[in-house]
Amino acid sequence: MGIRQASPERSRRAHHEAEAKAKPIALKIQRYDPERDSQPHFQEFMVPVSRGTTVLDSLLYIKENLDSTLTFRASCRMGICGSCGVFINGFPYLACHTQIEELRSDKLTIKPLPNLPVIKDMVVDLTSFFNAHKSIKPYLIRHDTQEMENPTAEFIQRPRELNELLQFTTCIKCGLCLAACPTAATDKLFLGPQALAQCYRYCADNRDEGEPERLPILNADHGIWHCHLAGACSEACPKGGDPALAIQLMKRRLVSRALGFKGK
Amino acid sequence: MRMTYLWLLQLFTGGLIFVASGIHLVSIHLRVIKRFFGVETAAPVALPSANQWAGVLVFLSAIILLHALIGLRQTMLELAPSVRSGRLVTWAIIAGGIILFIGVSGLPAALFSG
Repeated sequence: MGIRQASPERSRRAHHEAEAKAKPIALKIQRYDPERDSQPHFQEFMVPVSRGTTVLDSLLYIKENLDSTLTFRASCRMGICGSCGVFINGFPYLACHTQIEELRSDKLTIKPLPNLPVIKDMVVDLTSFFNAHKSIKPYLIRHDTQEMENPTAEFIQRPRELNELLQFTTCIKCGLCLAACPTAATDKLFLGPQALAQCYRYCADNRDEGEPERLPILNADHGIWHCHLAGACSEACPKGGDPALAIQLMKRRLVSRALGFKGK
Repeated sequence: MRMTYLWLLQLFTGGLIFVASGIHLVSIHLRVIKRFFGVETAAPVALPSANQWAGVLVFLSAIILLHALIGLRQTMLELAPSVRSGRLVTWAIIAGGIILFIGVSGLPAALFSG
């Protein structure tokens, strides 16, 4: 049995029926064009929304039909690339992963992610975010260069060893945790929950030998000890990761080292 | 590991302050507590000597200052916009802490020496 393709006429009819069922909601979007605006301002758009419409769908609708100058990042539209982070009604979300219905509001206020400089409209500068990530050496570090250059076997990792860090490997570097972090709001030099959680991901990996190299970064003045366990990062994470837990586990490793209980 | 040691010191001094506060509360309400447990003694509780009091106050001021100044440094570093200003804050707190400790520990010595 073959798949019947919908005729163009049928598709158009279905589209018009969907639009007729759609109810309009107001999207109040923060706009900022550095070439024209001295400061950010809000612009309101009425957007038809039906069941299943995501915030990204609404932004694309605005861009295609109402204001083509609206600027935002988006790519995969399935919650895996981490590009489309925005601040909706006071909380960070992935626009593609958030249905308007689940926000339970007829009026949405959409802003760029806080704690990061704004380039234009919803687009923020993630340079400092990725620099913090790079600074914790987010790769496996080993000292057996002979084995690495001429491998004789694979590095064994048992299921229970993988379980210690599996949850933290789901990070998509979307920046929502940094946007939610109250410490990052005041301390611009703070490493951030993403970098700290990923630091734990690598230090906890049994194949990694680089924890001593990462210690100076963690123990710096604006490092791990500026985390006060607000937990907003874990609440914001769209992939079910728990950066706050990773940070506390990393603190535990540091204290164990300081007291001379364990080292790797 | 400097920040880790500072954090551990913060925790340790916080614990000591908690214990000292507990001892203080018990000692000022000792008669009531003893009566609650049905212990009645006519003999008064022996109080520490003046020198011992001075020692206790110097020790208490040291741990309270350490705890407070480490916490103050952490808070101010979060607001410091640069590494350089962070260093200024650190040195200012160290200097202020030394001056405060000399002043505060000198007070009980003066009070109890006379």
